[in-house]
Amino acid sequence: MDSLGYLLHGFETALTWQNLLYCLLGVSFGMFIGVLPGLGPTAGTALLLPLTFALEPVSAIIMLAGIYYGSMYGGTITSVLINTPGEAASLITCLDGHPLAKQGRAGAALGIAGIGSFIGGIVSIVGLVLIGPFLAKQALKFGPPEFFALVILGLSLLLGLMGKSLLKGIIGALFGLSLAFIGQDQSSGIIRFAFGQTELMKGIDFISIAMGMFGLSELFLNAEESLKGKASAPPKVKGLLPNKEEWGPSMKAIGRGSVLGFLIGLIPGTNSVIPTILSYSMEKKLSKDPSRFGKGALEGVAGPETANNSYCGGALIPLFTLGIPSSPTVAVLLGAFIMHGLTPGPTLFQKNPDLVWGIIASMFIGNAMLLIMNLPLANVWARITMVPFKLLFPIIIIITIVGTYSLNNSMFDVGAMLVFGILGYLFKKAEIPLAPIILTYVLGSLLEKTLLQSLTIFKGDFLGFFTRPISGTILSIAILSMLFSIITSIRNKRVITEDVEM
Amino acid sequence: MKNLGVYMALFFILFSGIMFWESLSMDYYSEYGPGPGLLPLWVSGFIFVLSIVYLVVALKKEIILFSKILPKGEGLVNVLVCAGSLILFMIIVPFAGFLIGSAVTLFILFMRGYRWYWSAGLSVSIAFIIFWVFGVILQVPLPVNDLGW
Amino acid sequence: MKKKISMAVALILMFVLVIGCAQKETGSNSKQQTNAGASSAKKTEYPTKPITLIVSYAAGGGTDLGARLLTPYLEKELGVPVVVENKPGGGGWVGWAEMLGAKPDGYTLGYVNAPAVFAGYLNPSAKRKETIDNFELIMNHVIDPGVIAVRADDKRFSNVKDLIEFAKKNELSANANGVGTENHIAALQMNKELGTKLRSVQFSGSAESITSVIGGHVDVLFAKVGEVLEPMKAGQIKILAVMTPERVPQLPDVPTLKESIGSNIEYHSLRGIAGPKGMDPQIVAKLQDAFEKAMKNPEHEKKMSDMGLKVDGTKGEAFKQLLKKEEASMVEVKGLLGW
Repeated sequence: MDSLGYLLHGFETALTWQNLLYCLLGVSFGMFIGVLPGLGPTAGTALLLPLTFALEPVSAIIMLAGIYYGSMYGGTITSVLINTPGEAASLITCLDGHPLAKQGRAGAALGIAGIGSFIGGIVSIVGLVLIGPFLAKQALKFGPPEFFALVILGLSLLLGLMGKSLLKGIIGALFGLSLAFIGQDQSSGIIRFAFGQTELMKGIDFISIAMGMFGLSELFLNAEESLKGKASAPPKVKGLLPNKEEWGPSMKAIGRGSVLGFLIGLIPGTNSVIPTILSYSMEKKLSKDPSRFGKGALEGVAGPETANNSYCGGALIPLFTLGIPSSPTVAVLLGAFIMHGLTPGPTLFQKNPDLVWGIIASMFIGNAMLLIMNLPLANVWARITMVPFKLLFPIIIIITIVGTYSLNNSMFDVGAMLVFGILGYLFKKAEIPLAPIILTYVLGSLLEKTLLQSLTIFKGDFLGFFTRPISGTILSIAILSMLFSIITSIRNKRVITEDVEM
Repeated sequence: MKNLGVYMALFFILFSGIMFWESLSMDYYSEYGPGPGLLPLWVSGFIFVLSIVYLVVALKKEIILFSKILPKGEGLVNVLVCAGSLILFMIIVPFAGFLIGSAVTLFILFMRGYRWYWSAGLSVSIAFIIFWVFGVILQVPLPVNDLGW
Repeated sequence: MKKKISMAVALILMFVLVIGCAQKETGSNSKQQTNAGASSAKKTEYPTKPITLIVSYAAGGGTDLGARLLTPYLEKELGVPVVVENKPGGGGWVGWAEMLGAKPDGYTLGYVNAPAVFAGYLNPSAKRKETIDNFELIMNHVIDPGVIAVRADDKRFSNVKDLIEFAKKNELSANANGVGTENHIAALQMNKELGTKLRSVQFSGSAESITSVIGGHVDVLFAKVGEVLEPMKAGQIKILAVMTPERVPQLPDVPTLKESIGSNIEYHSLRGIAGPKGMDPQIVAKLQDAFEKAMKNPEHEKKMSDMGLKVDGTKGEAFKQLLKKEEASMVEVKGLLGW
């Protein structure tokens, strides 16, 4: 167990007062940008990158890593309170987190998310210490066909979240996928579906769609209720902790989410949305009473929130051991390593053990800090739900405008948000589920890229996917699960007859 | 026709039709591998077919009447004011700047629930706070006028 | 009735949106003019705020690393932060389109990569109006030679001759960074002149390609020296040949393609700094000066050579001529892509 010795040594590095300070700065800032819709972890790390030049390499990376996993904590808050994901990884949290807030249980949702995030973070760091290098090598077995299969698996499980109408759900999912095609094509450089509009050439920003479809449309629905205070007054905030009977399922969900997120994080080229979808649908499938999901099931918050945090830790493994950035944020971290004269890769552990173990140790500390910050804060945040709507909604509208405008300094994004807000409002009225739209949009470019790469590898033969063990297995599971959903739907004996309130 | 589902189905049919038409003009497959038109063609084709099914279902089974789901009276006004305030913001900001633009927008929104003097006070102070927090402290780019506010 | 009203309202909303956007355009234009007027009065004040440097490739790729190594020295010269922004995709044109669309005020610059940049407009189906003439060319940073590499434990090939012979009989997959990028064209040229059967799989950056080659999903890696040095040292890949007229100092033991099989196919990439056309000449001069000092900084030169990169430093008009020459040679091979 020489890793343990190294780790203890790493704590010496991490526990100097200045590194503790940078760690605290990093996680606080990370939490903050997680809360702000529009600023994601990638933008946040990139923003602070120049500030770290003057620091020691260890301190710089400790701080940047702190931003990365801190943002995963923060994104939850807006999802729960105003149904607007602070960043993509918290999309799924809207499904059950927001209904919980409506019942006055925002505190419980945020509390369990904080606890789950902490456990997920710690599990993934332990994994990084114990089996990271070995697993990272295995993860290389995932090539384009396997990514494609993974994305399809994620989307097939989405069918289980479609609510009453499978037909509308699939149309919605494909609609979201189409939105991802707008703009420049990854492999050929051709501009698609922009109809000569310069603004469309960049493609539509995720934030515009997410804020419009989830956030604004929710505001419109709330505004329908009279604002004169006759509207249902928000219920009192009840505590931070789950009820007695919720502890068991929630802890199980946290356990499963930790492992799932960690494993997906190992695979370079995935993104943090995939483990959250997988975790949510897994919880729903395993639940004794799936109909509670979408109406405020605590496991539906616990699982995905844990998964996105353990994904973060897992995603650092390919970076540390192979020098491979597995997501855009990790890529910025890689840039930080390089700027400080360090090259991540197999040699890093041998060349700079102090640094690596210092960073790993700081992640333990950072996660603990976040937990300590989040639990009391959860109560503070939760009180926002007590603010009367007539006071709250103008402020939310202005903040969403600021968030979307700041993406590209253009009013076009604000306009796009409004259009998607109106669309989302009408979709909700027509009972078209919104989650598939936004999730396929997020995964769309990855799906297309890997499909084209795989088809090139297989010389255009789609059946090539089934010649490879991993992609064949995953894809078969995905197809079976889709067929199952479709057959049960046609027979009208759907397991889930309740529409997910979104 | 007072059936929302029908209009939704028509929207998707139109959307996918345009996409399908556009996809046809891009390479489906070229000598150097699968092209940019491949996936959009399939996806839009699927949407098109499914939307037609949706149209049939909407006409026959699932009738969602406008009169049932659209808000009336004050609720409708509220929704329109919400959407309208955003548009107003986009129109006035380019020449009035962020502070004035957001204050006006906020004022209109607050008027839905507060008396005018409350609304005026709240909107001006919140516009200032947001400008200060985002623009000054966080250096987030805001749509400002030529004078920088 | 209600339906009609709501439809009408929706239409009006859309209409107003369009007008709103149009308004915004004129608004920003007038702002630009006043800015231009103001800037002539206080020219010496450039730069006063952070400069964005757009890199059109994913973080961790060769261009990105070079940019991130240069910016600290540049910040010293200019006295303001220089923020690297990655805008990958579209063979680089996602980032370039963004940069060319920015105000030519010197606060948005970008890396221009040749020959990748030519592909975006030489390809007729891209329908792109911008060409290299839309760039305000400031200074070239590096010339990075291309290599052919395979997985370290790939038993099939011990040298490039084996690879070529094998690829003549069997199909192999190779990586490319987009249709018409330099490594895609190199593979096509080999297919044409040597009769190999290479299929190019498109990736959105070298980091991704290298991962796929190490994982055994793609057979042949076409990358640049700066990108393969680290994985080579880590024993993940072996480099079979460099595609330059001479051997490169960082890889003294690796033969050139020419000495191995007598083929003249070569490729490299240039990475230089550019801005949108129409920048103030004084600002351009100031930037050239700053970039030159930053690039010539011995520390920077050493870091670059550690990465296997040679700092170039051709600037202004000479840089433009260099790119024009590259463009002409690209036009020659255009036929391979059916353009």
